[in-house]
Amino acid sequence: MESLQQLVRKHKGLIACMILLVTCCVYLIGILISQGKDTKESIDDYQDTYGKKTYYYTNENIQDKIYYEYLAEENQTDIKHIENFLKKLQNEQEFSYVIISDQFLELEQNASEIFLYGYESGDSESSIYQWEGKTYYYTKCLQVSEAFFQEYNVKISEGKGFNHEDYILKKGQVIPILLGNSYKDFYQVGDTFSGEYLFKSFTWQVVGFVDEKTFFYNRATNSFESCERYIIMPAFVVEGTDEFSKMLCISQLRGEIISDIGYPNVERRFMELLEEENLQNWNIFIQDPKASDVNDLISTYSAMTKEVQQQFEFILVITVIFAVVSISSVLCGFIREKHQEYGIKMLCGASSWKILEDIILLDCGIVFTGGSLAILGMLVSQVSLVGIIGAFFVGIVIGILVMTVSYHYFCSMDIHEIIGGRE
Amino acid sequence: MSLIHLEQVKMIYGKGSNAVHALEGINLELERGAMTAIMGKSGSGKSTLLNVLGHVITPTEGQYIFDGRDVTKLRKNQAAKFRSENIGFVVQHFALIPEMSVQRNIALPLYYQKKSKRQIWERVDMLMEKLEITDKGKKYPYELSGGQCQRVAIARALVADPKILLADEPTGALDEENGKRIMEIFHKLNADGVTIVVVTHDAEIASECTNCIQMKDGLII
Repeated sequence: MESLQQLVRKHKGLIACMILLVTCCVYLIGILISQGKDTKESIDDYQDTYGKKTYYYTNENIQDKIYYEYLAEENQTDIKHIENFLKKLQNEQEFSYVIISDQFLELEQNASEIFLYGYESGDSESSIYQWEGKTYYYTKCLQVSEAFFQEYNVKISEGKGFNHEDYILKKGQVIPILLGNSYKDFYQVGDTFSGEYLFKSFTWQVVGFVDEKTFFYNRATNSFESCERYIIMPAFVVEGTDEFSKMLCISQLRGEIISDIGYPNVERRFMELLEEENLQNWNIFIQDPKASDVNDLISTYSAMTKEVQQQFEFILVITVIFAVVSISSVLCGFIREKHQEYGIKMLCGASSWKILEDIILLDCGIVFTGGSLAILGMLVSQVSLVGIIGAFFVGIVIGILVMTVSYHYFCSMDIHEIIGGRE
Repeated sequence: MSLIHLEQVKMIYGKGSNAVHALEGINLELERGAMTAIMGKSGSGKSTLLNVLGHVITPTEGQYIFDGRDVTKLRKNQAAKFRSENIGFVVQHFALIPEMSVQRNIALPLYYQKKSKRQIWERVDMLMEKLEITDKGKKYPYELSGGQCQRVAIARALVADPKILLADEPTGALDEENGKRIMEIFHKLNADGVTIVVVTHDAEIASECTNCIQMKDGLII
């Protein structure tokens, strides 16, 4: 103990620096572990949400001639084929089909320009127009099938979701809608809107709000986009063969196929269904994943997240090595300085551990003091419990490693040179 | 039965082409109560032999029997216990810890034997009186003369009541007068039954010992 006190008195500045170093390292390790945990959770979330599934989006690029023939009043059959094709897609066993159509709503009232098309590109002005004395707003909207909520793990933060009946449009029915989180400042459950959708007047009623962490894949921007500024409406089916029904049907060809059977199998099945309904020449297609698409995007996201975690682990290892090397160097310096004294103690019958008692106590003291300060700092900055516990154990590991290095350094010294020296 | 028996003890430092053969097969018998001088030029192996006898180093080959017990291969902690119970060391430059008072320097070996405070201070006081340094107890080594330091070192070497005292050039750092006084102490201790081994260059000191061993190139000649 006396020897330790002398050591501390003599090198108090250096020991204070070591304590500070341990504090910084352990604090950094706590932050890294905490961040690493968040990253790991992101990966788990990703895997929970997307698993090994691949997303292929579908669309149509129907020629004008076919389209206008389809819209013609006397054409009563093609819509049936499209409806059947959509039903078959949604009932398919080999993959899931989700309708995600982004046809805007023309609302007669609007709370803020942030909900309008073109807001992000600074062109929201063109989303406002006058018609027959009324002002209409092109408001961002998604028309989704029931599968959307399952596949994108969408949660309702307030109000309620859609019922199965909400997906069947009846004449004069008020259409239920869900609003993104940003709408909360302007509307509440029960509020109604009026306006037009596919050139037909409707009244919509807010039934709930989706959770702020709701995202969907926006094929226009090739990125995941938050639903916070979107209105979500059921991709409903209608009875009838009028122009609205036909346009609605075509719009529902915009969607996503989610599958784990691989693109060739998905494409084969998709084409078979088209042929069954004699639609193979309608230029209804599934996006090839080799193109820049959602598949690449998700893979890239996954790879990036894993890479970030690897970087965290790398920094953590480097930090531990840095701390161990720094403290060990200082303690080995102390051992070298006390070389003569240790030789004397050895001659007096002290064991190696007894001789190194002061260095071991000093190591424990530095790690304990530095670690305690770091944990205090982590508590103040509200680092997660996992980070604090992790840092605590890494601190112990640093202490043990330093002790081991110091012991081996001591054993490698020729302290017996006190008698005559090596000949 | 002799106190120490060495048989074909070899000590090699390093490996391969860098190997240094410090001891080349030593056979040695040291009787209880003897005062033995080890002489030889620098590099002859005398200090290495002293290290082997004190179990500060383990011989590369051969057998070391101490008081009828084979102590050739002891683990580090066993060797420390062996030194603590059986060996007292006196070295040329005293090997006192400068930050410790004379009393504490002398008491050091007893700390490692976990003796009670009363036992420690009784023994320390007795030895300080015997070596005529009673008034120096509270002083620090830098406050003492060379001769006084060496007497403190001898007191420390004797405090644990060892079976043998190993002295490496005990008068080497002292003037003639102090050297003589130290040798007088050694003779008194030997007369009291302490077995002593002294490594020395000084033929006069060697002549005062009961036995003299001459070493050359790692061998006893």
